[in-house]
Amino acid sequence: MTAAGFPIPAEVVAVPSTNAAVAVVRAVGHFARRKPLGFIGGLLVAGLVFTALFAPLLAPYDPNAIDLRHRLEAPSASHWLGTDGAGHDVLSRLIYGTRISMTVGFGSVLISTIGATAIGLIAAYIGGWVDTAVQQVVSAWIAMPDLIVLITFLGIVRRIPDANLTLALLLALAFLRTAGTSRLVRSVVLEIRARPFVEAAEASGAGTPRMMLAHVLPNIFPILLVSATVALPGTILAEASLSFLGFGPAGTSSWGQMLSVEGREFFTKQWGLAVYPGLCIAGAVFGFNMFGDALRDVLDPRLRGSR
Amino acid sequence: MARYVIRRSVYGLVTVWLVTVIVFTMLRVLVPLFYGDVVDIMVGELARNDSNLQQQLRDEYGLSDSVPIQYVKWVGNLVRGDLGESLYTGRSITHEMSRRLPVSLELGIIGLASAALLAIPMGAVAALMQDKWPDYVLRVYAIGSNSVPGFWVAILVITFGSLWFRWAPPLSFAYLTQDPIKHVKIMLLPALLIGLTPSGGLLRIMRTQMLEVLRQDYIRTARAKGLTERAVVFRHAMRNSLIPVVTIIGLSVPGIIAGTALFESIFVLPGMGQYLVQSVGRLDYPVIQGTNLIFAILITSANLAVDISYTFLDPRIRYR
Repeated sequence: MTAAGFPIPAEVVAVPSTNAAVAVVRAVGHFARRKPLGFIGGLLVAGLVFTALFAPLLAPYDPNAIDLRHRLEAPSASHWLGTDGAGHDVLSRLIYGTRISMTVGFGSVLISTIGATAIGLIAAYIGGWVDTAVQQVVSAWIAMPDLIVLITFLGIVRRIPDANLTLALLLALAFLRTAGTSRLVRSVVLEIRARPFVEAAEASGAGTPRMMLAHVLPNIFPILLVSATVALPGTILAEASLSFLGFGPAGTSSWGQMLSVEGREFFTKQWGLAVYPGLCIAGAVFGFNMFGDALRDVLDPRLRGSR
Repeated sequence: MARYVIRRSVYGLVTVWLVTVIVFTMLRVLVPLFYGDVVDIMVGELARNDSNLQQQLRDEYGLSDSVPIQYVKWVGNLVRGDLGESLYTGRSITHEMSRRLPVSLELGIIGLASAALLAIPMGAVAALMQDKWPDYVLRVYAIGSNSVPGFWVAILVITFGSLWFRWAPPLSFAYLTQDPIKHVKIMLLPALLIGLTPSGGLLRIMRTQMLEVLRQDYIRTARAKGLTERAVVFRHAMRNSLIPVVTIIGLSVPGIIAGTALFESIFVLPGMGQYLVQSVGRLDYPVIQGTNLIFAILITSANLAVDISYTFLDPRIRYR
């Protein structure tokens, strides 16, 4: 497996030679040449993760420092993106908003993908009454109206002192995505089971766990990756929408909240307040979309063979 | 097939029943356990210590009974088509919904239909012309519509509409029967914006599936036996690509409902989503239960339709 033919694992797997750095650089260079948009997306993702990790070092001001003498200022040398209605530095708030967005996005998609794969694979593969029972629960689960589950749940958690509302939002979004994704996994597994290679493997005596893990799972991986890619921006949007409606973590600088509270109130005085947080949301979603798309093209074994 | 549909409909009813139980329990058991009930919110600071008034209100709203009895009474009224009255306005919920549901359905159906009608052909074209310029243009559209949140587009339209053109969305609402032209003016922008977000995801899934299917052996066989390209694309490739797409369309119904809630609150439209958001904030029990019942029925029906459509699209999947 050379770095040129299969660039991504070369970055992930540590190569035990002194040429490791060279190999990584070469793999990244190859990826950048073959998938320029994906590379830009990857840079955006890396930038966002970096910003989220090092927010305190990057932000020029305390995001919650109120400065009433400098309210609603236009962008200047001291406040690059101006200030909002309470005199907060907008740039610092956007930088801290990255943390909320990344935590909720990555955390909920990871947890829900693991859960959904387990449920969808087992239900579709075993079939029979197990599948019927699982689908019954999944139907009820899907039919749970997201909005009220989230709002009621967050409403309860908000009353508990020192509750971590970002974590609560993360878990709630993961819980809500799991059911729908397990349906998708199930439908793809049903389709794969009808393919001849599965019959061949069964005929040669592969047991059920082996079938599921060694034959079916690798074949649903591309769909899982695309589905996670579609979902990551989705969860970032969901966090933003909930914050926009006023049900997000209160008192933080979540992008959706900035857009809704400051943007809608003061757009006639400082239109930037209605623009910058939205740009951040769109930029984050764009970066994850492009990176995921390129990653899919590189990782999908069938598509790779055809080039 | 008929037996399958009947059985699934019965399951659907069970699902809806489960949802009503969960919502009822969350509202009337869980929330009061951690926080307080609707009467606590209603009396607020003014009559926090007036336990007589609070007891009187609880008796009047039927909150003094045990929760199972409250549930039985609610179901009893429901069977007679009565969803109760709002605890705050005293207005009949059934009557209120008969005015609000059409608004939300109109928004949601126009949004979802325009998204699907645009995304499926566009996804197929992108796959057929992979890595040529139409593919890039369509992928940029997919990424763009998927990246830019609809509610931000709405905020931008309102912001720059008012700054540059002194335009603002109408504050008063008009029903189709009252003033058709004004109605279209009010509804068109939010309806199309609701479809914006799902259209990108649909296009991506359609493209991915088409690319997969086009590399299958049976497509090569179809071409080799001399079928026209049109038959290969429409009868073999597109039909086989549609299974996950139909799933995604069905699964985007809850998102569309959430979308109607967002856009109804931005554009001040008197729909179901706005009704729910308003009543959740003040724990208007009967309204929350009623709106959730309707939403659960809509989502369950969409799921049922998705499952039935599998058999038409892929004959290898059979239900008994």
